Amino acid sequence: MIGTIVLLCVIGAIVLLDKLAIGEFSISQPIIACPLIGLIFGEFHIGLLLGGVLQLVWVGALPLGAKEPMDSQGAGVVAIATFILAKKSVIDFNLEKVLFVGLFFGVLASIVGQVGAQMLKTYNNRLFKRIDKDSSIKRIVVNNYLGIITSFIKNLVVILIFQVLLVAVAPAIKLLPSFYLGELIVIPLAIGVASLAKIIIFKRRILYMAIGALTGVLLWVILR
Amino acid sequence: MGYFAIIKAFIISLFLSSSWSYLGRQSNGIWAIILQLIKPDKRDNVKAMLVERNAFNTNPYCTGVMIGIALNDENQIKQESFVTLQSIFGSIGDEYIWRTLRPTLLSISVLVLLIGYLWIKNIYAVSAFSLTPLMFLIPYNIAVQGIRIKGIYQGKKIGVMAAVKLVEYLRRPITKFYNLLAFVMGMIVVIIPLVYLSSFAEHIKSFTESVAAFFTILGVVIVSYFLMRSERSSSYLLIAGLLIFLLIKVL
Repeated sequence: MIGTIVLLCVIGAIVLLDKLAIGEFSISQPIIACPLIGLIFGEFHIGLLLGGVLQLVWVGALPLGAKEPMDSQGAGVVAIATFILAKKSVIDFNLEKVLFVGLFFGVLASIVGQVGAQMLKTYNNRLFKRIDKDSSIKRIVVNNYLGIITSFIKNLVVILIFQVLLVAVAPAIKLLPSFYLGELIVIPLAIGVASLAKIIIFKRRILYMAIGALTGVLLWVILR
Repeated sequence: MGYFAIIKAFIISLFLSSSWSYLGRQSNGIWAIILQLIKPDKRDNVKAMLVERNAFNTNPYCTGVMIGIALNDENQIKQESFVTLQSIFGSIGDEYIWRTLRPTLLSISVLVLLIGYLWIKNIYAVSAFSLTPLMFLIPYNIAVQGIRIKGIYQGKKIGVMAAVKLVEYLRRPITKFYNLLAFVMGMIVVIIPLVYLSSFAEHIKSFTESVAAFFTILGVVIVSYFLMRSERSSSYLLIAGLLIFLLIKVL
């Protein structure tokens, strides 16, 4: 189990480097990161489900200026990492119960990750101040690349916290009540739609929303 | 500027926000990039500016054009132009990329995925819907990394005019993206209850129960909308939602 935890933490921390430290290709977005990590551990379809369900929850959380948004990327990685570890370690494995724990840990990770990012950016002030003492080109460049290491450590710590927490609560997972998968995923999806609505209604696009809803109903009729 | 030089500049520019800090924001990154790309004999021009450096922060994908402009006239890199351009691209770049392009593409991916679950009704079924993440990843990166790499090329070639062109390019499609986003959201509102009703909750049989379930979910969306006073609320709402769900199930 320790090997799985180490692998999940390292792979997750590398994927999360995409959030700010390298490139910003958006592979750390839940809809990409969850199936990607899932694929590595043989859980692609659960990763896809988790990523799709979590993706819209923080769609309105934007990294504008110095404002630190909720860590939606960290949430996705922690959710799938929780599922993968739980599947390997929980006795009497139940898909819905473990998904519940994954979602719950994921949303907690969005808060912990936000605090972690604030601490990281405060720590990085030191890298910025170092240029006052030594403004050689080498120092400036090295300081910038050192930020990748600080980001990696922060990501690693956030994922590790939830992996350790899972190991601690794993025996209690079987005590959760039974429920349908559809019931569970509706909650984050509904909150995701509310997040989208915040963007749309602010921009007064009700008409387009209504046309979309009518198209959805039409699809319903076709599918029936 | 040759292809090799553009690719080198592009790769180095990927590390713009590596050491993002509250004091300097992207300052370390932008100066590290420019110092690595500029001719060695011109580096003193940049280092002189470092003495009076301010916090630099803008949309990361739009910095390509600013790097290109700096390389266009290495003798006269002006701190004032950086200050002006970072504000312009911080505003319009964020509006185009963070507020419209990314949410729109993400929503389309999620919508297609949900429709996939409607059709397939088995989350383990291998299907074309498994490729939905790529519907976001590929177009998004073509758009945003394209802005970055084209910015470097045009900035180096035509200088400040490249920034004017980029602003015009970013400004035009914003309204269309908002319309598309609204349309997709409308569809998702209807699709979510359908996924719930048809894919997973086999225990719902009667029409009345289906309608009740539909309006319950719609009610959750509306209540969440009004409770969501800040973006932080999303996390707290989801925690509360999951706990209430658990409580109902226990009772």
